[in-house]
Amino acid sequence: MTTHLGVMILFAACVSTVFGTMMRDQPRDQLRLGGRIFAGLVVGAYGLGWLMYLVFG
Amino acid sequence: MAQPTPSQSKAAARAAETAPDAARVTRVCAIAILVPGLGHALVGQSRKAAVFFVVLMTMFAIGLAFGGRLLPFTLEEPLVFLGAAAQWVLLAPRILAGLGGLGAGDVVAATYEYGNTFLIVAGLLNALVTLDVFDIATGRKRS
Repeated sequence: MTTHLGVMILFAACVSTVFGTMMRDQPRDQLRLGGRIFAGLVVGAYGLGWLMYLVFG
Repeated sequence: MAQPTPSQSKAAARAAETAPDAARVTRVCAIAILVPGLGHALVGQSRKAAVFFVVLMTMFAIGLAFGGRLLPFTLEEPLVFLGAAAQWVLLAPRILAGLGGLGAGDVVAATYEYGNTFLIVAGLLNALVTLDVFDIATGRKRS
């Protein structure tokens, strides 16, 4: 769990849960928004990591 | 000075009825800063309150478990000052952790910076949660 990817997924899960809960009222909408934020954070960080590797690595 | 017309009087009375109670709004926001989620519980959103409490307290606990540091207020290092300000937005957990001798910060731990990030972001998220409960308490956002 203390790998960078594991901690990043844990962090993304916490942040997306708070934002999803705060910005929507219905549970289904909250889940949908939280899932989109979670996916955006994880995929974005992963993609940015690969981009930096290809550009600067 | 001209007397207000009946329609103006009615409008003023309606505005007075719908105006948020400043003392209540202040109290709700102060409690939201003190304990994450409790502000939402006071405005009748218990489910959201439970989610905020569990997630933010978990983030704070993870930050401490990862060896994060409870930052001091020091003007010599502005970023440390801002980090400390963010951590203090979770007021009760911050006080309890400080009194319990937690959060000394294990600088050589591999997870030290992760811990700091969790502690700071937990405080910043609680600031957003407090702003949300402010909007609900003042009627800007429907609950």
